[in-house]
Amino acid sequence: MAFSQIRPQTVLHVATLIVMAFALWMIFVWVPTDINQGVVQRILYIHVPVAWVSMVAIIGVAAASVLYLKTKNERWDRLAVSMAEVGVMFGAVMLISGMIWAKPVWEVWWTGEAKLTTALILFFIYVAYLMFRSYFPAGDQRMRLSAIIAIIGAIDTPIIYYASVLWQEAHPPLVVGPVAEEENLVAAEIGLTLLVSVIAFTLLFFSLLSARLGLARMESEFEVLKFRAAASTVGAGQ
Amino acid sequence: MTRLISPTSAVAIAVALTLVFSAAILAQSSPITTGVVTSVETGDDGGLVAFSIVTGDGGMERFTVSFANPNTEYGLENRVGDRWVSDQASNPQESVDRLRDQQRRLAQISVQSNDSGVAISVVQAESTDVDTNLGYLLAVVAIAWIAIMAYVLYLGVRQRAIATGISNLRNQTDDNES
Repeated sequence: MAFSQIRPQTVLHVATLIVMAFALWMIFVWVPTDINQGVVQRILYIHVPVAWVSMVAIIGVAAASVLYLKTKNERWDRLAVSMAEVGVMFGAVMLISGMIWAKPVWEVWWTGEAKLTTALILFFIYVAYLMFRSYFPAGDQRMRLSAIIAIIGAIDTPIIYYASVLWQEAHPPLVVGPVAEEENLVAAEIGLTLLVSVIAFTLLFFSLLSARLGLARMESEFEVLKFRAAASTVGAGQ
Repeated sequence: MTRLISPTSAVAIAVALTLVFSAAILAQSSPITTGVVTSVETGDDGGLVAFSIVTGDGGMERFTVSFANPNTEYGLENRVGDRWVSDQASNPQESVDRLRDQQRRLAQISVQSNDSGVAISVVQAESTDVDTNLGYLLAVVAIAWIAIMAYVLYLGVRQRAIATGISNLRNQTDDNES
C-alpha cells in the first residue's frame, strides 16, 4: 500500500494505539505504587484524563454550536452531536471511576459535595442534549434549539474545574493546571504519567470522534436520500 | 484500500495490553502493611529503633528503621491534618514523637518495607485496605474498556445499518426514476 493512500483517520487510530499502549505501560508498570492509597491510586490516571476529555467535549459541543448558529452550516451541527455522543460515554466512565475510587478511600460510593454534583450535572446536560435531539423532529429548529442547550450547558465546565477551590470538601485539591497550589503539585513521575495518559485519552477521544463524524455524514446522506426517494415515489405515482 | 487498523481492533489491542500490564502489577513485590501503632521502641539515646503495628486481621508486624540505605521516610499527619514530611536521618527524635502521636490517636498508618523488615516509608493510611484494593483498580479499568468497546461496536452496527439503508434507497430512487 502506497504511503499516500493512508488516510489521516488511520494515522490517528495507529497513533492512539501506540500512545495508549505506552500510557498503559506507565500506569501499570513504570509509575511507583502510592503508599498512602496503594494500587487504587492508579485510578487517577484513568479518572482524570476521562474527566478532562468530558470537559473538552462539552466545550467543543458549545463551540461547534456557536459556529452553527453563526454560519447555519450543518457540518458544525454534525460535529456538535458527535462530540456530545462521545463525551457522554467518557462522562459515564468519569462518574463510575470516581465512585469506585471513592469507596476504598472515602468509604462511601458518593457524597453530595460540589465537585461530584457539578460533574453529575455535566453528565445530565449531555444526556438531555442527546435526548432532545432524538425526540425532536429533524430540521433547522432542532439544530438551533440543541445548539442553545449546548451553549447553556457549557457554563458547568468552569464550575467543575474550580469546585475544589471554591468549596474545599473531600475531593482532592487541583494537582495540575493554572490554579493548582504549589504544595499540591504531584511528584514528577506521577505528573509525567498523568500527562501521557491525558494525551492518550485525548487521542482516543479524537479517534472515536472521527469515527462518529463519518457516521454522522452517512446519516445526513441517508436523510437526503430518504427525502429524494419519497419525492420520486410521489412523482412516479402522478 | 486496505485499512491498516480499525477502531475495533485498536480497542481490542488496548484491552489485551491492559490485561498484560495488570498481570505485571500483580507481580510487583513491595509489601505495604496498614495498621495501628502498638509500640514504639527507642534506644539509649532516645532515638527510634523499631515500632510495631497491628493490622486489620489482628496480625502483629514489627519494623526497624534505618538512617541510610534505606533512610526511612515519613509522611505523617497530626490531629488537624498538617503533614510532617521528613526522614530518619534528618529528624530521629521527631519520628518518635510522631509515631507515639499516631499510637495515642489510634490512627492508621501504612508502612512499605523491604525483605529484611526495614521500613522504607511510613505514611498516613488514606485507604482502608492498601494492600488488597487492586480489585477496585481492575474494576475501573474493565468498566472503562467495556464502555469504549461497546461504543465502538455500536458505531459499527449503526454504520452497517445506515450503509444498507443508503444502498436500498439509491436502488429505490433509481427504479423510480427509470
